[in-house]
Amino acid sequence: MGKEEDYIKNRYGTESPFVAPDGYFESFTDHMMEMLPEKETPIVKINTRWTRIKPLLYMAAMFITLFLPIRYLVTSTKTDNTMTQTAASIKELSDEDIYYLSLNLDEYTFYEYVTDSDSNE
Amino acid sequence: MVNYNEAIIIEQLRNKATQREAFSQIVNHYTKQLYQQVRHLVLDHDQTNDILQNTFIKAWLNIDYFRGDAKLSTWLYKIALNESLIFLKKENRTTSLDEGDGQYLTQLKSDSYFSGDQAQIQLQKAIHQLPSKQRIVFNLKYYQEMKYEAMSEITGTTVGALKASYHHAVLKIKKHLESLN
Repeated sequence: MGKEEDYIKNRYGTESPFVAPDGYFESFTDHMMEMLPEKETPIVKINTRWTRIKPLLYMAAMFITLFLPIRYLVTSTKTDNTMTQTAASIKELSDEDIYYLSLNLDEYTFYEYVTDSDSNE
Repeated sequence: MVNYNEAIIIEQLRNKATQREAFSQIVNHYTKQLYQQVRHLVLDHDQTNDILQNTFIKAWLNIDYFRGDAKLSTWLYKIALNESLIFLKKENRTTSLDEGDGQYLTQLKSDSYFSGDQAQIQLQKAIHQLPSKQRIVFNLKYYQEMKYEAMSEITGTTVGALKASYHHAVLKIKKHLESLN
């Protein structure tokens, strides 16, 4: 650097003109230490039987939560298929069958009707 | 007065039982240096005091993350510099010799905590005309005689760039001072 730096140093020196109040540095450390917050004590995790089982229980709960809706969906689809099949078989009935069925027959009468119609054939 | 041994202090910092006492020694050891670094940037004593306190509080809260890869001084200087720049930004004093700094420089004459004469005020005005980066580099090198390598770690700038910054800063200050005479 040389010349230019020497020019400044020779005229102005390198001592800082900024000073602190009397006793500032002497009391600063104590004052500062009083201001410092206490560090939080780290939480020590105790490995109990419950903490070991907990993840398994969570997994089981998740499985049930996922399994039940899926099972419901599958079952309801099957029911839909059964209903479709029933509808198809109804279509195969003759007009006469439909007439008898529409009479709100009880189970006994219905079997009687069926037996009769079979014996008639 | 306890002898300051950084290696022992760092060891003590890792132990919760001795951490607070070790930090107390750090505060005691570095206060004067950090005070000067901050004061040269913000000029006012009370503001310097606030920044210094924030610096040590941040250092204390993050002391567990200090791994000892860098020197403690570098780490503390870095925190102090960041705190100073955040403060100056809040006060809109990041540009060179803006209204904020101009006001503080004028007040230096009546500042009880400024020991300089009229010539020193002129020097401070010349320093505060520099862009903030050159100002930081000049103060660290000129007043604190900090090595470029240490400065490089604090500012995250290459040694070459720091040398260039200091060179430009000195030229500008000299030019400014010559124009006054």
